[in-house]
Amino acid sequence: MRGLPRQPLAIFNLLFIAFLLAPIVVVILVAFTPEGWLKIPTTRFSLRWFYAIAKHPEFIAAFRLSLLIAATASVLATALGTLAALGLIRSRFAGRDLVNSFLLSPLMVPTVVTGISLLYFFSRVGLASTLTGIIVGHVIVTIPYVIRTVSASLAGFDQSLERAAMNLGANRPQTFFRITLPLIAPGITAGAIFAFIVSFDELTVTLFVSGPKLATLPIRIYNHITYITDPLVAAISAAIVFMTLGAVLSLERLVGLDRIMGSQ
Amino acid sequence: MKAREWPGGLLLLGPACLWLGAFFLIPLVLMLRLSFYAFLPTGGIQEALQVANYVKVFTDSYYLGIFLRTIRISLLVTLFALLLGYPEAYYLTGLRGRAKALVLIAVLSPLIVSAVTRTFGWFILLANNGLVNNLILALGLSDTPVKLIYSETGIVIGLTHVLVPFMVLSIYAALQRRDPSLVRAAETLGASPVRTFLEVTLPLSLPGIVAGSVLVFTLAMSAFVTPAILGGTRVRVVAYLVYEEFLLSLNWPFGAALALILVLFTMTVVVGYHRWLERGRWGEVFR
Repeated sequence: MRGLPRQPLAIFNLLFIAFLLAPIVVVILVAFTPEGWLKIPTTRFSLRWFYAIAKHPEFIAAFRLSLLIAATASVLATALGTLAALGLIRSRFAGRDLVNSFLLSPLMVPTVVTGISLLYFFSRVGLASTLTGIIVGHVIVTIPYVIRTVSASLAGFDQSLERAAMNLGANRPQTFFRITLPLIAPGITAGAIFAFIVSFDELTVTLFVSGPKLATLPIRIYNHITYITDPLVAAISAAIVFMTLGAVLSLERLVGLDRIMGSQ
Repeated sequence: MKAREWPGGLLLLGPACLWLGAFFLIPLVLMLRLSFYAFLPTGGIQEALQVANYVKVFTDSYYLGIFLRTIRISLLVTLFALLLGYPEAYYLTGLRGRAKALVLIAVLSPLIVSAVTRTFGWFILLANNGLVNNLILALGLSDTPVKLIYSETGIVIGLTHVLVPFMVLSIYAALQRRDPSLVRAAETLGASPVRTFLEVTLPLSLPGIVAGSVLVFTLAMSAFVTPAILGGTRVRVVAYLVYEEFLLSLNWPFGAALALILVLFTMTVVVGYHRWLERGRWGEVFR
């Protein structure tokens, strides 16, 4: 197979990647500016805006809140999502496809719609503007990612290993904890990391259910840049980008990104 | 060996189904009912079913205009995502190993990086004194800075950036599925690379093109963060309008009606696409 000439495509690929990375690179560069405005530094670099973060306790508090929410929501979503993925792959029943679509449907419904329906629902049951409400919303949004990731790792799972364990006298719980779980552990970890990233970054649903008092990091940043734009937000964003990069590299190590993203 | 039908499988689905049933499905149904309620000038909600909210959307040119703008933006985003995504997907199929993994991470980077961060990046790039405008002025393409932020152009750029990965992945998946022997056959029979591409590869990748376009279009229709930051109150889209009705005007029934029309519209596109798949003239291609 020869295919089309590779050289023009390779040049296009470089330009395309430049387009994709441009806004991210610019934010990181501006974070190191010594100036007081959004200037891309050319000669001098400075860490002054990173130090400035320490002088803004509201961003630190928002960061802590986001960590707390993302940790709780990702643990819950990973538990629910892993069980569901195991249930989906192990059972054959009439409505299986329907259940599968239902469990993935939070990805299909626009987040604005999820946000307003939760706000209305929470305001009726007393969960509006509460931490619990935000976590409940984040679990909804992140469950599909866990199910997809764990299902992807289960797809390559060799069930004969389980049969071998049971033939050798292991009971069902023993087989699960000593054979199945260790084998799908990378998939579960990847699902948890994925859920954590999505929850940590969630803005739309949170905007509706969080109320005026609870501000996660994305909400703080959003409110900040809608009326003032300074390099402070760039420094905070750059710090988050470095953290996310670490998380994503571990995801790629654990399962491979193409398997998670491509398995729809 | 299918003998291992495990009755516990159904129980495993229980917790997730209950969670989504209670906190996702029920709220959606309640919101459907809310969209038929009336908003009282005193700020309350009158629980009497009526269709005034829907009539208001379809008769007021202000709301219709915002719907049309959202559709226009989404169509442009889909077009640009296709023009950029196709060659990239084609290039990806020729890569192996480490190079492929690296390019794939770069392609997925807009999805991985925080929405606020990447949109803020476009905000810096597209500003009147930003890098893009400096380039335009330096190249003499325009005498005055081009209005890129707080305009539809900016929203189209920002949305194309974040949605093009979905297009690349869809087309890439379709290209991976094509039978390499068909391409080889065309080449053996003397077809040029360009002709092989146009007459074999391109038709075979059509399912990926269509699936990717539908996905990008629906996601663009309902996008919130990017148009909110790059357009805001100056260039409203439907999702932003819903946000305003809910959190600023506090007219929840009307906001719910707007949101439902948005959902119905995108669902119609998706369902229409599946119908077309099943009995369209591309029947044999999609089999």
